[in-house]
Amino acid sequence: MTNHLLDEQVQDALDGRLTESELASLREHIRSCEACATGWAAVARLKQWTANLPTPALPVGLPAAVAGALDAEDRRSRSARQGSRRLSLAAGVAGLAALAAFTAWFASRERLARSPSLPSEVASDFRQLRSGRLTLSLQTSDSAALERRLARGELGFPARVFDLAMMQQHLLGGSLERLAGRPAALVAYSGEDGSLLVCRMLRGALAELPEPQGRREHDGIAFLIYADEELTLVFWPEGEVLCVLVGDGPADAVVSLALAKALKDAA
Amino acid sequence: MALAENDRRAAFETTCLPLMRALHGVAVRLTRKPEDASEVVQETLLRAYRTFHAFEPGTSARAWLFKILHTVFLNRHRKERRSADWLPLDDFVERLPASGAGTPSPSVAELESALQSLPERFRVAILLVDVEGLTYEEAAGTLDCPVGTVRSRLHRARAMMLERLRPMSASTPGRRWPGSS
Repeated sequence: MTNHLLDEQVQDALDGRLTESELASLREHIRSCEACATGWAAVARLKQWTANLPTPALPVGLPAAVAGALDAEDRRSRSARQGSRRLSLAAGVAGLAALAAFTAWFASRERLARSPSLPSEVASDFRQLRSGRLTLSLQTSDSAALERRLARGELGFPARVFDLAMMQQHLLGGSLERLAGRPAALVAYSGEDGSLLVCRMLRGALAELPEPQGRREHDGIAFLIYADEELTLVFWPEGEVLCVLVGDGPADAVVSLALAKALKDAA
Repeated sequence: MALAENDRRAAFETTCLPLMRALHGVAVRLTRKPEDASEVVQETLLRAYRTFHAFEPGTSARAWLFKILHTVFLNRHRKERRSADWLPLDDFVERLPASGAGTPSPSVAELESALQSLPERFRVAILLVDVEGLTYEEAAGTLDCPVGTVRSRLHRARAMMLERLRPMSASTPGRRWPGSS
């Protein structure tokens, strides 16, 4: 072989796609051709470098989030087999018609100003949790166990943790994370579409919140609604406790879930 | 494959979940956004679980999962790709270790940066074949394209990588680089 090797020949050789005789012929050429030997070495080194690239570490919360999604899928398929279609978004559905009109209006509103307000602090915590920079102190799908854990903290009020599986939201776990300088509960759920939903509860009142982009009233409960980039936040009061549901799913779905959860809380 | 639910879950966990880190590694390098990567991996594994009955035992779970991941990635990021294609993955790259002093090979961060600079169709070829060790045939199945397309994309991708890394490697004086002539 007198001509230089084609790049494709070098590639096929290094990727193990040549026969022994073809490979022997190439090796013979390389022994006598410095130019081709150099090109061969360059590709070989690159293959070695890329093969040895370190695999990025898994975010701490990802295995639990995956396990949660699989659990939710198991429950969903069991439920489907049993014909339990009636397990629907009972309370959420009640407000769905009104939500369609609301969502169109809501989408046209200005984004939340980036002031250091309670909504922006809630949004910041959400993003930290989603990226793995904030972790759940108790990862569990057992709502009662999480309630017990939260009750042992310094909250000063009973934080109720609901199983929202009927709403296709699987409990991931929770933590006590201060919010606005106050003790606050954080409960995280994962949707089947990979979306994250977080409920925060702390002592407070709607009056301390900035002007919202949207308001709703349902069964005598006032809901203040904010958008922060891809996030939707819905605040509502439960006595002395201020609750907020924040999610990165569709805005109308987050609002529906907040309405449903508020009704559950009030029940 | 007709499995009871518990068996299906156990089989899935044994077959697929050990590959979560590899999936995440490819997802990070495809999306260039660690936050998006987690979402892509979660959706990939959920889709895989739902369709696990279609997975044939004895075939490559790695190739099967990468195919789902690539589909999820394309669905989620098709609209973003054009504008984001050349954005560096700064946060990720900055956290990578540098190679030892005096070695002729580029640092991991330099390699990642060169990899990230490739257009998606070339980057994914390198990721699947060179980083994850898929065969051409498995990569072709993952990308839903002919084997010849994988081969040519891989060739272009390596040539571009070498071109970008050339200033960092001192061992090739006066010699054309593959694909550069």
